Amino acid sequence: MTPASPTPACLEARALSCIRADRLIFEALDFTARAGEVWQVTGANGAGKTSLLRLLAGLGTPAAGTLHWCGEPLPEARDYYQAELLFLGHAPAVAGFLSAHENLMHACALSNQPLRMPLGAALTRVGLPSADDAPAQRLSAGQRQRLALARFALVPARLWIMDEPLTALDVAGRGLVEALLTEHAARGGVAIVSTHQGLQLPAGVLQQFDLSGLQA
Amino acid sequence: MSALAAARSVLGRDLRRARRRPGDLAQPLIFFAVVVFLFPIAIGPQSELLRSLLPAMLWVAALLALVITLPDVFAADYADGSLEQLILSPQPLALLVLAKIAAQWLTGALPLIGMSAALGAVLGLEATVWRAVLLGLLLGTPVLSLVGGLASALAVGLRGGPLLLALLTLPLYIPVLIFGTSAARNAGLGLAVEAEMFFLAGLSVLALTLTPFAIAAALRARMG
Amino acid sequence: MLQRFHKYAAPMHFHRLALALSPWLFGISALLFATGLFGGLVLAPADYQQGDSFRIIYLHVPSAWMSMFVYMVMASAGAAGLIWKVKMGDIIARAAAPLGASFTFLALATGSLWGKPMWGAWWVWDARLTSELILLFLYLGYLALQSAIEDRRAAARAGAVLAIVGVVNIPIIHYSVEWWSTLHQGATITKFDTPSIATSMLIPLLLMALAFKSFFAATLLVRARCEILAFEQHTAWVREYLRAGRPS
Repeated sequence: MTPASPTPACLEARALSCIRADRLIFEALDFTARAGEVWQVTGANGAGKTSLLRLLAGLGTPAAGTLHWCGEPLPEARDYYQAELLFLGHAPAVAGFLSAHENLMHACALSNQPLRMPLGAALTRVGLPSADDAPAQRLSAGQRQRLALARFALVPARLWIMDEPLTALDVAGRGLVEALLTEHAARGGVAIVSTHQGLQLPAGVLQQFDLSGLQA
Repeated sequence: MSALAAARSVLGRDLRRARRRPGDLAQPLIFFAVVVFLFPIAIGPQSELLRSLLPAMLWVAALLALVITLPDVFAADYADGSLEQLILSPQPLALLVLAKIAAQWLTGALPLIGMSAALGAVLGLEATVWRAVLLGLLLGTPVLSLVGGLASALAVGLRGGPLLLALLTLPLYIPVLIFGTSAARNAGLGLAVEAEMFFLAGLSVLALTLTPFAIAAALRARMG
Repeated sequence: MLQRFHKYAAPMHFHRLALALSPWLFGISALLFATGLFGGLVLAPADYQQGDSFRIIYLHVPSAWMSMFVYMVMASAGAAGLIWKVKMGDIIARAAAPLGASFTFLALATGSLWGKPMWGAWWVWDARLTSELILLFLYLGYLALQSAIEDRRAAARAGAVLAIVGVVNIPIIHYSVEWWSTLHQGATITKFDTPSIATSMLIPLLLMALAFKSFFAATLLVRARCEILAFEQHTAWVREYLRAGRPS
């Protein structure tokens, strides 16, 4: 059922509406993200960036509108959509009682793709010590964010959806995110990122999408 | 990685959490003991009456103590964002959920069964009744963990915590309670307990096949 | 022909249909209540054993039937909303739940009122009454879940899962409670069983059942209209309806 291949990555949202707790967050939203593009979603607080990213990731059903991945409508294509998706939410999904290594192993077990590099190499890539047994709750917030990013270095996925990936990261951390995104775009992947801060990416890769214009 | 490896990882993670936070395990056991000890205080220390009511007391206390453990099934994962990763995983969600419930049964129900065995023996339960209570709990607690897991998934992240969970689960727990205590009573009268045990086993098998899918649906409904 | 009914699955058309139908349904149910109560309270003969107090079955039995029926409606509508994404399914399930809980409570209250002159106690642990009580808790659990979840669409979906699980459990609970009750009483006839029922009693009972059903339908349509307006509050037709005070 997985298209082994080369249908170029393409995420499309048509006439998407989002209603949360009786509040209309946005409606009639059209959006297309193609291979090699990194979309930066901006908007004021409460504009619906998190809601949009969660809908695009398939968490929840939109009040109206449809999503398409590589041409296939989403509810039918859910299985292989989820195989090609990596999601970073507000909370970095790091279990405090497990070590960094154990956390990463669990994340890999949940994915069904062959890994791109050994776990230790991924930890080094994001700037964490690869042989540390300490429970993750002893890491700083920035280190936990880096641990969450290690998944992105490790697991192959054509669609990255990241909600505020730069939270708690220092300047070097921001450089890490930019490097990861650049490599991802070069491989033909799509990324949708919500962030207040600017991202420095190669020309032609970075696209902007402002939610403030669609306020209901 | 295969689906079974993913399920094993989920199970291992929850078991590791229980091992590294042993305090969490003790609370339901202490609650269980307190509830059981409230009854003699309320009823009075007449030993015959107490001994005949003991199986019922153990069952009720076990149900209530199990309900106490239910918020933890999904609450920690909800708080740190792991629940979304579980739902978004390409591995079958029903299988992952089954692994979580298995962990809850091992860390929540099994210690309670052990505690019932200990308290039953200490408080003078006769051997046949003691065996009937324990076997009933062993056969019935899988249903309780599964149905409890469903309620926990429906109520994840909501205020009202254990109270809402108690309201959702206890009506669904009643059949298990009826057959468990009926078996204990029959054992006390010297009658056979096969019928009740088969019924409990049947309920557990039914729950085992259907509930994981319901829990997966509940998680998807809530995390949207 | 089916197409004509299919369009009422859309909230907007259902709303208009509900607006048109409810006055008629209220009228029909009033008529049925009048004839049923007249038949039951006046025409039917007094029971030779229980005298006149048995007449409360004309309220008790239909409410008990309704409590089960409404749970089925709730679970089916919820399933339609959850599995086939029919919006009206979510709406009807949420609208029906408080009505079902009320019927269950009425069944329990009338059962209790019947029990007092008969067996001297306000409450007896009869199998049927106990099952009704558990059903009431199932309804209350559903309602508690609905009110605890803020987003009404998520609440409807979660409630649908709960209602479906409840429907599977109801036969199990019913059977278990019957087992439990015969254990303690021996194999006696359950107290609220009327072994054979004379036609003069049966007809008013059926009339009352129909009366309850049409009353439920009428109130369900009223509640459904409110739920529709809440669910669809951001659409153009609702904004127009609220502004103009009548459907466009």
